[in-house]
Amino acid sequence: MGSDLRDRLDDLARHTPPASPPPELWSRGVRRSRVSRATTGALVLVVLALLGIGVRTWHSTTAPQPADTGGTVRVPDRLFTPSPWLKSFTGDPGRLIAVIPAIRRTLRHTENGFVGVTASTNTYGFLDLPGVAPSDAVLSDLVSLSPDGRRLAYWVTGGTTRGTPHGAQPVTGLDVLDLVDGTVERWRPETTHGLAPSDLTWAGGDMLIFDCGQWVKGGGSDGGEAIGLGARLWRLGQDDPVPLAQATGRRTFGDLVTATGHWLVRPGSERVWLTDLDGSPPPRRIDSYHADVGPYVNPSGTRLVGLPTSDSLTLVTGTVPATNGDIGDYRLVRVENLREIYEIDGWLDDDHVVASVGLRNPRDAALVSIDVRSGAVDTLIRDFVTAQVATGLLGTPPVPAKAPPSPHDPRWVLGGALAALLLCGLALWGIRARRA
Amino acid sequence: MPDGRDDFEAFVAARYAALLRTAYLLTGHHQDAEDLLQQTLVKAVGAWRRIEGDPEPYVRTILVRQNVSRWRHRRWRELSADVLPEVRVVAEGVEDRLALHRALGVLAPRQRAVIVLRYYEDLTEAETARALGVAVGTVKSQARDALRRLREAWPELAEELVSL
Repeated sequence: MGSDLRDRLDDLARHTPPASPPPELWSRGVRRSRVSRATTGALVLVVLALLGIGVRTWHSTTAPQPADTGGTVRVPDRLFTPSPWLKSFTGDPGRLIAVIPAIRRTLRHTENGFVGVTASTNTYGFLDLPGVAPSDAVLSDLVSLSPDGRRLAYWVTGGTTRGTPHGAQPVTGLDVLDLVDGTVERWRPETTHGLAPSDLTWAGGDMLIFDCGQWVKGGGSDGGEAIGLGARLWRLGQDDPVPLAQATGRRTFGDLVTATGHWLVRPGSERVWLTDLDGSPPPRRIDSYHADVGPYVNPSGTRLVGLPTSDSLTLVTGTVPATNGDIGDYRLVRVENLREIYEIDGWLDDDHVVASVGLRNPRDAALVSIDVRSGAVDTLIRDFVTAQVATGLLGTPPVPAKAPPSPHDPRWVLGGALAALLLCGLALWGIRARRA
Repeated sequence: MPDGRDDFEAFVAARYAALLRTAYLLTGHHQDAEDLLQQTLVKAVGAWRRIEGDPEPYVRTILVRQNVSRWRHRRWRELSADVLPEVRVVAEGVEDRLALHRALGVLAPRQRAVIVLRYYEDLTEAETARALGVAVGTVKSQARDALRRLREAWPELAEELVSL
C-alpha cells in the first residue's frame, strides 16, 4: 500500500459511476422553499397566537387598576358572575356599585371572597379584606356595603382575649374600610371566646348598626349560647359603638331594626317605632301596622313598606302619622309580572323601593324599583346575581354593562399552550423528517 | 430565468460530478449519494441569493449535515448486516477500494464526514468544524477516533495511517 489515505479516498471517489444532474432541481428547490416558508409562517402564526392567548389570559388575570374615584356613577344594567381567577384591585377601588360574594381561587387555595364592582367604571376585582372572618362564623351578612358605596363593613377574626376561642377562627371585631381613601376604622371589644354577630346594617353612609353578643363557651363553632346580644350604633369617625338604646334614649332596643338614612325602624307586635337618629323629633309610635319582613321607612320618614310572609308578591304600606297614632292610608299593594319579591334593599326615592326579585322564569332574577303606590315595576339591573348594591347610587339610569374579564384557570391555559407547542414541534419534526 | 437560476444551473453542471464523489464517500452507496446530493442542491436553491458568490462551502455544509441527519432518520428502519455481500474482484485496485469502503463503513457518519472533509476535500480543521457545525476540538477528537477505528478495521492501512 504505497498510497496514503488521501490517494485511496480519491481513488475510491473516482470510481463513482458518473451521473447527470436531473433537470428540475431548481424548480424543486423553489417549491421546497415556498413550502418551507409557508410552514414556517404557519408555525410562527400558531406560536404568536399562543403567545397572544397567553398574554391576554395573563392580562385578564392581572389586577384591575383602581377606578376613577370622582363622582361619576354608572349603574350597570346587569351584573356578571365573576371568574374565580379574577385578581384583586391594586389600590383603593373607589366607590362600589355592588359587592358580589364569589369563590376565589389561587394556585394554592380556594376560598370565599367578595368581588367589588366600581361605581365609576364598573370594573370587577376581588376585595382584599385583611382578617375577614370566615363566613361560617357569622350568622348574618359577613360584609355590608354602605348605601353610598363608599364604605364596606366586615367582621374580622383574630385571637380572643382570655378563653378558648369559639371555633377555629372566632369573630373578634368589626372593621369599616373606606373604599376611596383606604382608611380603616376598627372596633375590637374584649371577648373571652369570641363574638356572636347576628346583624349588620347601615343607617345612611356614616352610621353602622350591628348586633352581636358574646359566646359563653369556646370550642366547636357549631352553635352555642351567646349573651349580651343587643343592637349597637357606631357613628363612624366619632365614637366607639354604643348600645342603640343608649344612643336613642330608650331603655331597650334589642329587636331587629331597619334603617333608611338616619331613620330607624324597630318593629313590634302590631306597632312600629320610628326613631330619628339625629335626635329630633322624639321616637314615634305607629300603631295598627305589621309586616313580617321589615318594615322599611322611606328617606323622608313618611311611609312604611314591608312584606308579609304569606304572600311574596304583596307590599304592606302606609303613611307615617305626624305624631304617635295609627298608620295612615294602610294598603296592600299587589305587584304583577314577578314571581317573587326576595328582599327590599333600599329606596330609589320616597315612592319607589329597590327590591331584588325573581322573574317569571325561575332562573332569572333582577333588581327592580317598585312604585309603592301602584305596584308598577321598573327593572334596574337584569340578570341580577346575589349581591349587595349601593342603593343610594341607583338614581341614574342604568347603562349597558360590559362583561368583566373571565380568566380561565392559568394551569389549563399553560398546559394547553405547552401541549400546542409540543404538537407544533412534533409537526415540524415530522415534516422535516419526511423531507430529509 | 429569475433569481439566479442560470448561475445555479451553471454551478450544478460544473460541480455535480465532484460533489457526487464527495457524497459517495460520505454515504458509501451510489444511489444514496445521488439522493443526498439532489436533496442538498434542492435545499441550496432556497439560499441561493445569499450564497451565489461562493456556493460551494454552503453546499458542502448542507451535504455533510444532511447526511448525518439522513443516517439518524434511517438507521432505525434499516437492518444492518454483519457480513458484507460478496463482491467479485474484476480489476486492479478493486480489492483496496473495497477494503477502504468497508473500513469507512464502520465509522459513524460524523467521523466519516471528518475523514472525507479533512483528507479528501483537504479542508482545514477550522473549515471542517464550520461545515459540521461543531468545535475544532470536536473535529480533532472525531478524526483521532476515526483513524483509530480505520486502523482496527483495516490493519493493512495502519502503517500509512500512523503518519496522519
